[in-house]
Amino acid sequence: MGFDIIKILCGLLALINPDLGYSNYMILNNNWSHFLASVFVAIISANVTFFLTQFEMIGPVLASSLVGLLGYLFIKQYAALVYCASFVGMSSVAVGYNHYLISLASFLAFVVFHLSTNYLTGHGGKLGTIAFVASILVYLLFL
Amino acid sequence: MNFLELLIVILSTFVVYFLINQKKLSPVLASSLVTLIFVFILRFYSMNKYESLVFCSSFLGMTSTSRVGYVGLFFSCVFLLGIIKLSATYFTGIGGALGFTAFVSVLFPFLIEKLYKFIFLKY
Repeated sequence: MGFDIIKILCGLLALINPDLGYSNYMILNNNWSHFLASVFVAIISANVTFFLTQFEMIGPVLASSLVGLLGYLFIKQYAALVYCASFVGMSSVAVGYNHYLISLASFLAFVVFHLSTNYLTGHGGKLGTIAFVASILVYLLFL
Repeated sequence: MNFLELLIVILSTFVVYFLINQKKLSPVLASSLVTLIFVFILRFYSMNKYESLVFCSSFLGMTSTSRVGYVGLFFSCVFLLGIIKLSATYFTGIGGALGFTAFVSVLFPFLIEKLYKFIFLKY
């Protein structure tokens, strides 16, 4: 059911803006395994960063850069997505974030990441802004 | 703003910018590697409070040469430090705030350059 909703949502967004190359590619080629793998990678990397952030010895900066580096070394095609999701994981427990909210925020970050594939390329801070949009949305809705 | 903070921001930004645009390294690799190295150096000298500054300025360095040149990037470093100082109390604990700060600070020189070209050079 949830999967169908995502499919319809992506289809509608692709209809509104035909320039959304990557979303279109995924829908037209029925490349759902890639889509699911991307969601999985985003959620896992955000949660790993969030988990590592809670250790005082590591801290958010080291956790995020470590996850980003590991993402580049092991899953190169998802490196940017891993790095983007790791910024979501830098959210603090003190604000009220937990693993469920981080998972939701990372999914939102994934959606925004794919919708903005053709926009602002080469602009510093793009990935961070995507993560910020997702995190602040979750913060405003649930916290 | 103290001189050390400005030096850290400029150094990490330009190292990442150089690695990406001259040495053709992947932006993710350059940013995370430079941050890791800088963090370990800062921790060695017990200057942990500058970690987030290094991380934020590494995002600034992820800018492409087609967007902002070296001079524009220098100005965005100064903007970045100013914005971080002003917004230190806001956005704490929300993921992506550092990236957003970098994005806003690189937007200033980019727009100024566009405006200058539009007004004076007519393109």
